Amino acid sequence: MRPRGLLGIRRPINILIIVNVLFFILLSLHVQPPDPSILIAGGGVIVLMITSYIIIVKKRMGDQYIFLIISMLVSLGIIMLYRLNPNYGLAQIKWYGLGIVLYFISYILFRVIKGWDKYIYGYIFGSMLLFLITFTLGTNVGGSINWVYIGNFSFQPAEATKIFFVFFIAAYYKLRLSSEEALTFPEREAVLPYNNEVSDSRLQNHNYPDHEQSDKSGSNFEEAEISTENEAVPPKNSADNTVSLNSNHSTSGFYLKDFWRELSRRLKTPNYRELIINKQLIKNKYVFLAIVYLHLFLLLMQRELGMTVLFYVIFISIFYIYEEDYKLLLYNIGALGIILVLSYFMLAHVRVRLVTWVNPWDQISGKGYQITQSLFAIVAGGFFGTGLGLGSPDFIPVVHTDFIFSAICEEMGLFGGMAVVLLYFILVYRGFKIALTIKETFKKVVALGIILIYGYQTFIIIGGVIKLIPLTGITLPFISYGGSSLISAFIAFGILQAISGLEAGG
Amino acid sequence: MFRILSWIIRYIFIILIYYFLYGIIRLIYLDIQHINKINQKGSNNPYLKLINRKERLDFDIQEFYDLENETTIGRSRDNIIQILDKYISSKHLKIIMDEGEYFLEDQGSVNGTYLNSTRIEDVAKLKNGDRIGLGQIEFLFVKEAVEE
Amino acid sequence: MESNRKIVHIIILMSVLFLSIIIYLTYIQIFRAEVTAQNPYNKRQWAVEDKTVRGTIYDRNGIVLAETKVSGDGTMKRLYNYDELYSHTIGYSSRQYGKTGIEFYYNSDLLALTGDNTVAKIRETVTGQPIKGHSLTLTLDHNLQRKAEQLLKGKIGSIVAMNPKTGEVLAAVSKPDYNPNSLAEDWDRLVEDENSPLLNRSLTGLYPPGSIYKLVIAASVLENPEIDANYNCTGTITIDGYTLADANRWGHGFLDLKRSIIVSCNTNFVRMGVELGGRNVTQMSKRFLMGKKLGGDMPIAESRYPYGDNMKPTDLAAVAIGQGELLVTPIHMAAMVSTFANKGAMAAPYIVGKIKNEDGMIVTLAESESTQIISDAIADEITDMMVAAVREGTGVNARIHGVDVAGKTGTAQNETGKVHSWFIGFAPAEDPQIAVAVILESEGRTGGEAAAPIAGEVLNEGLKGVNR
Repeated sequence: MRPRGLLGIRRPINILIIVNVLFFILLSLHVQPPDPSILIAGGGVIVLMITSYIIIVKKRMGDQYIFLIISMLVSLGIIMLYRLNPNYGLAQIKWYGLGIVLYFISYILFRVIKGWDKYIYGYIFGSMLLFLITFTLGTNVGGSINWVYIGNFSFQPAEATKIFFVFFIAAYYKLRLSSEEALTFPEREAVLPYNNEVSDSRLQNHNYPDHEQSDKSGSNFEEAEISTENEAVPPKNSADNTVSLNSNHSTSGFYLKDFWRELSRRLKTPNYRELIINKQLIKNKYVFLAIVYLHLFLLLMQRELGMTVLFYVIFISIFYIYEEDYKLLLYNIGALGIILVLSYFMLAHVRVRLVTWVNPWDQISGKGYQITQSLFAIVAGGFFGTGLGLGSPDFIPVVHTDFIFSAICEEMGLFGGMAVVLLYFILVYRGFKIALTIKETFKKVVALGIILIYGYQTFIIIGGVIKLIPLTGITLPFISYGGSSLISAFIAFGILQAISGLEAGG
Repeated sequence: MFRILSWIIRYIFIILIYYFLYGIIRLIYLDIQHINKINQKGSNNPYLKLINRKERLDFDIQEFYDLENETTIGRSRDNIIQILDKYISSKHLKIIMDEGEYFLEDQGSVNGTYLNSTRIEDVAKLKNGDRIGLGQIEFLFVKEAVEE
Repeated sequence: MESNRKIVHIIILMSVLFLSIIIYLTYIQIFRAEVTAQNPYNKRQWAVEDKTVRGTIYDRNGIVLAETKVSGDGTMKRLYNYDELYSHTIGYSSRQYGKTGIEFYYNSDLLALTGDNTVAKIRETVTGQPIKGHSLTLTLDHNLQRKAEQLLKGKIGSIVAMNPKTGEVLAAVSKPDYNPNSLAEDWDRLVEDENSPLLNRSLTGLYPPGSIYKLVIAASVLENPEIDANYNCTGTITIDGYTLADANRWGHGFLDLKRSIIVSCNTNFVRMGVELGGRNVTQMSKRFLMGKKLGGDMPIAESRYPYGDNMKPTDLAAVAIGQGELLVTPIHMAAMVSTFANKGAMAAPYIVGKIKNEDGMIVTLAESESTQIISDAIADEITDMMVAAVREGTGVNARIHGVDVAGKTGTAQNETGKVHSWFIGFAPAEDPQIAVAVILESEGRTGGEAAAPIAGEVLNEGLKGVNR
């Protein structure tokens, strides 16, 4: 729809290539003796980037800035990892290649397969299955049970849970808002006098992949409208039920007591199908909240502090955007307060995190060691950094995952670190821009959810390593070493790319 | 040797990455400007503008659709503008240009086509600012007068 | 649209979060960087040190006091050639225990981080040859330092000798001390020792000055001719109901100011102090930098003078004889006595004379700074009294054959119950070459008995050094 001049886009991709060329030459000289195979690896990275970029532009796959920014971030990550340990760098390049493939696959799948919004049970089941796998097969690494090892292969299930969680929330709001809308739909004066043509409409429906949706969730409400709007038409068998249930939902003061009464009444009637198959049960916001908090609880059980916080902020942000019930929002924020206070007193590792945040210098050789080493690295860099390979980022424990930002600050300086933060910021901004233009609820929430994951995740870990907020172990998206986080990020942004393509009308 | 190279590259890198950021921001800025231009539609070509009052829709839709000599709207793929609204029939309506004028014609839709809130039975001539309603959505017909 | 409006709120929140990261990073880099980088746990400091041969430290005559030896495999070892002798002045540089002394406050010079060393850096980059740190030439005189250390052996206390005209520190000994070459073996013992061998008493030991402070009061009396210095000492004086007894129970009889210094009469100084009043006493004390920075290149603790212009008579009485809450460092007293030797001007004490780079070019050359505290005439008058105090008064034990020594003893009471023994002085009185401050902590004997003979020997040795 929009003509995009290819010439104008050339510049950022060129800079991306120059940066990679320069640093990979430098990296090949960094090891003793100089290793030309690093140049080949670097060439591979560059080729991957250019090819993918050209595909995205030529095939008009929507937003092109997303991929450029991601590529810059991944490049910096690979360069830094190569500098820390060439083995990490090489492994990360392989993950990057796989990530790009999955980026395109998730793009295609999301566009080709319709009705992603209908599998709310699938998303919940997926999350729970991953939790089950973690608890049964998970290995305790540094106090957290978050890694699953199968043979030589290891992965972090929570990375995949993030995407399931966002899809679950999106599917939920799609379900709820479309039903609310169907009730309030007749805004225009002239409305749908098509009662005697229902069968015709159904026939037409079957021509389209979307028919199932209108059949299941749609038809009820169409019928509901019919029964309210047009009394001349005799209501269908199920119409009574649907109407009463819907009216229940439309009233804002829906208490738990009423809900259970309603539920038990329904369970006695053979109509439980309504609850499960037609998702009337899941549509209830208290059921929704229960499932959300179940996620949070299970994460906390794995001692995944960073992830728990991340899931919570994603949930509360989307909840804030879509929930009109402000009291409920306040209750949820209050719940967070209670959880925080309780976990402070009950979980020793939460306490440690807080104490080492307030004053790490007291325990510099003990629990405050990581964060102080990180600060030493950051200040050692100054404004321009020590230069790649000339600093000592290896003094920081787990520098290749959680603390890679400190390593970047040390060797690329305050300006380098700030540039990374700005890259994330533009990425997040683009994501929001896409979310704003989308009208369809499910896609909008998915886009929002993805961008919130990566926006907050970036803040949580960078804020943590610079001691702005308490440190919680979580990876820096696209830069930290690790297949799970890199691949899940590529899948997530592949989906965002697909959504951005829809927005552009492709 | 390595050190000298590294020292030089660190400065080049800082310049490059900020230039990269600048490039991206500039492109995004140009892009937004471009969209705004489309929104203002300086061209003479008439178009449909979505003026739906509803906040959310279950299907994908664009803010603007350019009109061709014969534009069909409906749910099937054969239409020039395909809208997956379940209240829109597979072949819903047609907008035809004839000697510089645009005409709206219902294609026998189930839920009907509305021109300025009135259901049309026959072909109706469109003028700038007319509202075309179909399914859950409403379009504004924009045909700006040619300035001379 | 409602949801889009709220999305904008989230965008704003996200912007604030990212902005706070950038602001905080900048804050760390600008305001916290220096403090953080110098944390002894920061291993990066060692990385620089690994690439640098730490500079050699010489005494004023070129004797090597501390040097770094590079062995064949490139490992470096810091050697302190005189073990304990310079433990407090030069200090130590250790990965495990950090740095103190000159090794600490001249660290960046010793690592050649100061001055223009681009050439060395590039050469290091290209050839991998380690950078050579700057060498320091101290103002210390090795012979005098050794003599002072011998005199203080087995005692607790400090000796500071300096050139009264320039402020060059010629000797600085603090006892007990430690051997910087065997820190690792001795560390636990050093930390637990209740006599604090790691404390540099010369710069940071705070003691009541006792009678040596009478010189300051005398200077104030001379500036205020309305105060009558003549007095009949009966052995006691009563201030605000408190009765003070003089060291001489039968009293000194009739005295003038000079006589009061010679015999160190407490009662007369208490009387004069009270008559001078808080304003005069405090003003004079502040002029002598009590409670202020002394200047110079060493991290010297500020002396304590917690009084203002309004002082109670009992406080005045205490300060007049160097007691009360007044606390001073030995080096400050050496600087104070130098004022009388240097025509009323106080020279800020310094210890590093020259900093040279590896090519022998001077990077920094110390310059003496002095401030006029009292007039030349008053300084002369007090010098005259001090000469008399050594010739025939409390300081006779500091006498040197053939040389006029000016000095003042002090015996300071303190909470340990055993008095500190002080002596400050300089020689020769007519053309002072060396000034000295000696304190023997909790010695239990008077300044005249214990500190004066030590000071005499230091002055004698110092004069030999000058004449050599």
